Amino acid sequence: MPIHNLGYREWDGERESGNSRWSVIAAIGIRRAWQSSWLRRIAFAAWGPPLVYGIVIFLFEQVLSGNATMNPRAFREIARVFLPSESVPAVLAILHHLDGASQQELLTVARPIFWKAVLLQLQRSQAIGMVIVVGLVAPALISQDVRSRAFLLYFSRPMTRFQYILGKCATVAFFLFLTGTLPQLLLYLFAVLLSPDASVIAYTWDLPIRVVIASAAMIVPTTLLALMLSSLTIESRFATFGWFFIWIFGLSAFLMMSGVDGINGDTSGLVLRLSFLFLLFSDMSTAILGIPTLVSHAETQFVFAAVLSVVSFTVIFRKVSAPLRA
Amino acid sequence: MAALIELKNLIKDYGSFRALDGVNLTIGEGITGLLGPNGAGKSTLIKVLLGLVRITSGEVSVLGHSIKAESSAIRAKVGYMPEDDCYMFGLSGIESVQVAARLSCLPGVEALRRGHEILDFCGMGQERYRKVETYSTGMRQKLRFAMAIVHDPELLILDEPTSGLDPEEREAMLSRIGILSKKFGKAVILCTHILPDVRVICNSVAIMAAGQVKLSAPLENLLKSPNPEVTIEVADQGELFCEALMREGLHCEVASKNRIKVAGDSTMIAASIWKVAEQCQVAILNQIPSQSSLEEIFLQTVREKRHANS
Repeated sequence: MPIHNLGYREWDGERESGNSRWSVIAAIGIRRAWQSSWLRRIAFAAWGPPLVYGIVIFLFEQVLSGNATMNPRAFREIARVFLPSESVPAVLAILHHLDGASQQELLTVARPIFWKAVLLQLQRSQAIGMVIVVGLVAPALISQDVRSRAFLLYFSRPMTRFQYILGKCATVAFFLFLTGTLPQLLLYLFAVLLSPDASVIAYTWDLPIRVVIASAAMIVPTTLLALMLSSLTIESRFATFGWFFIWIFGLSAFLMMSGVDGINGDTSGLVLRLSFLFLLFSDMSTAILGIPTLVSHAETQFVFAAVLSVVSFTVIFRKVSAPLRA
Repeated sequence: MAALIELKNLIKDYGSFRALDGVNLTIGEGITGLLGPNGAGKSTLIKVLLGLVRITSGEVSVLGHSIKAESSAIRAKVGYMPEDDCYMFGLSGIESVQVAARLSCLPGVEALRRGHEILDFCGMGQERYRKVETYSTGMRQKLRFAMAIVHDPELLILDEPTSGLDPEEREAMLSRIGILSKKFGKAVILCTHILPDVRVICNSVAIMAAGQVKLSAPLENLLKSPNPEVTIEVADQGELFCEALMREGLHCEVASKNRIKVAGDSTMIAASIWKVAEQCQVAILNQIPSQSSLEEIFLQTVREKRHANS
């Protein structure tokens, strides 16, 4: 017997509250996922775009501060560059009404729109990274537990299935937050710090809240959808394939239904905007950020995302329960 | 013996299939062997005890908690070692035990310390730092046992704890189970097909067949032969000794040169035997009371059920 072997001893320490059991599941998932060098690279790269877009806002604010006669026409040109195509007409219409308005009125209306547009552009540029991050993290989370029959080890403890699923969701959400939401908040912070004066906060104070809500609206259905795929198989590679297939299928449908020239064609159809998750989340973000747009199916899209989330959760719950019923 | 588990008229249906059919069982302290052929309902019974499946009807009380209302409290006090070759993918041995402890609400650092302590107790060395996927069957078995006991449960449910172990490890595993029961007062339910294990460490036995508990009794009582007899080994003069015993009114026969079988309970006939031995100047080397074989009892119980069904 090794000298450190004290044999069995009873344990009568104080136990923690059981409410944080989900965080144990999440911690395992995060630790395992972080072992992927690709994930670490993407997480690192995700902090680059906020710096670039921060410089854009900095230049914009410099132009504002150095040009007292900044007019709607200048905003229009900027809007064409940074706004999503479907929002440009609506924003231009607003700016058209501001012809002859004072500089103060212009700033009140146009500055938040510009900041929101830049934030939306950042979100869109993060989309590919987000798809890859989820593709790297989520497929193995439940499928490997099914494969290694770990459910009995988890559920023979005083842990509920809801806590288990919450822990798995928190794993994916953590990486989406790390590579998506946090860089967006960082961009806002950069923009405020690089602005000529602190008065910008008065115009843009609600943006961090909108960013968090928009991220949540994207993270919840994305996470549940990816975990549902993971729960359907014992082979994580099939779940990975399924995840990327959904996005490739959506992109293909987008290209076919909108014409070969993509976003220059008619992309306002509801079916098209629901079939391509990129457009779904982009439209939801546009609505949550408060960017005016002529293409609006926001209510339907939110309902669709909610239904997608509920269906995914139900499937996960049933799949997680199945080995226990057998 | 205080009842730790009480099952009253327990019924569990999976659709139209009745997995547990009116199970009545009381399990107390010590080690209880839960035996039964495949499909007898043992695994379902374990899942019921852990509150993992809903019962169709009946009453189940584990450690004073009702399974319907307090299954979470039960699982906090129970350690379960599954039969399946299950593990937490991607974790090392010590991480797995630490996670098991954390899920049972042990604080972070304490969970790690306790994990090392329990792995020491289970005889696991530096391999605790390796990924579980690289473990042999026996090592995973030890790891699952460590995960089951890391939170110091009051009741242990061990499903085939010695299957896949080499003889030395099997003996060590049984020794650990014995220590937990005898020295630390843990109640243990040992679900196994290896009947010699039951003979070695169990205090009582419950035999299930076709979703019912067919037999539940202390092992000592169970092994008592219905027609008791004692086999006596003597140094020499076996035939002479046998004749002398018969003159004393005992029913006996010479089994071999120096072995005599005497009918009757060993405690009842002991005085006569020693008196005759002294008279005949015969040295008694050994007295072996006859016992029923656990295998025979098991097969008899299971066959009775099959005959009843047919």
